[in-house]
Amino acid sequence: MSIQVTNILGNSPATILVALLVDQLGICTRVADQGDWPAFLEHMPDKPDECLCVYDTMGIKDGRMMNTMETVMHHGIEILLRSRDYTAPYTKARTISGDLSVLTPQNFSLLGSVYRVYNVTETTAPTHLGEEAGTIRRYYVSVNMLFAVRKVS
Amino acid sequence: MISLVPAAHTSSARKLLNTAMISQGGSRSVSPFMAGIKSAAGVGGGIRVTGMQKIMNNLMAVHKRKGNGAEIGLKRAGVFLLRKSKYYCPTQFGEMKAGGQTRKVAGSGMTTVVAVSYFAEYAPWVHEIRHRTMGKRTVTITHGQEFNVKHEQDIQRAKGTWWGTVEGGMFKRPEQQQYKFLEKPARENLSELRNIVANAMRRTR
Repeated sequence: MSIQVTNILGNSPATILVALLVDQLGICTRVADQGDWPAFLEHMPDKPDECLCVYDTMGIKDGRMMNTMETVMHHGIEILLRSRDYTAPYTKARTISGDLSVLTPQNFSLLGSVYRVYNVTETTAPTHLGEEAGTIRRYYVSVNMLFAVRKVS
Repeated sequence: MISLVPAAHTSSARKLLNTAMISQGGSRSVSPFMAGIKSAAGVGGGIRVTGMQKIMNNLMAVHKRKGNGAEIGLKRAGVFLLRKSKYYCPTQFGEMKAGGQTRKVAGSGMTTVVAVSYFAEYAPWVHEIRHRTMGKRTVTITHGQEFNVKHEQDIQRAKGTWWGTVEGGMFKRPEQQQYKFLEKPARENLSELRNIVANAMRRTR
């Protein structure tokens, strides 16, 4: 009899990545702090102009570990950055992907659970999406990633 | 499986093959590379190796043929991905969906690059962005079933009027349509895409 054990995350991968960016790497700030580059989750409001938002996207199911019977998932992540300056979101996206690419496996806690982040792989380079249609001139940059994380406890 | 030997490295590859062939005549307990070293030092001297040029020519010919197979496979994979992508592509007038294309953009043989893309200038916005600013409000952009649920009453009211036409935009959309209409099928069908390329390479002999 085979038993399939899948590591179920208590939070969405986007939530975990936001916590990683804010608490562990300090690249952006919490929305409540009203600092530079607040990180929103799944919804980007009209204000402030300079902010980023993390979305969950399609991931890749990569098969199963033989010893633990655990299914390996690489979760899809999209980070969308917005600014009134043309170069600022691109530079910020480069900083984020640079810091995430040298990340070593590490544990961190979020809302009472401990997660282990294995790696974050950039699947596309930061892409300029152009200027937002409307009255305010704002520029968007998006970067897509694959995120390997598991819940430890 | 196939040694990708560029022309500049032919002499070093030949030395390596020489070493391996000489070792076959040596002691079985000695590793091929160790035997090769011994022979180079004079222990196994006097052995002549022939036909190396023919082997190299054959290897280069196989490399070229497999490269052609890879190119064919990548083009087929591009067509396959485009078809899968169009299934998810959001439509109103159908301009973006009609502008989907796949073509070879660079290289040939083993270095071929095939791109699947959408010609419409707003395609990156539809693919990447899930919200739109309307005055002071931010509205989530919906596609497919999400759109149908969000605008269920509007769709019902618009039936038979101008709003219910393609220009009006308030009509029921196919359920599967969504943003990330190219990335999703690419990730879903990753193994299938690999198989298409591998099969095309296998068929070339």
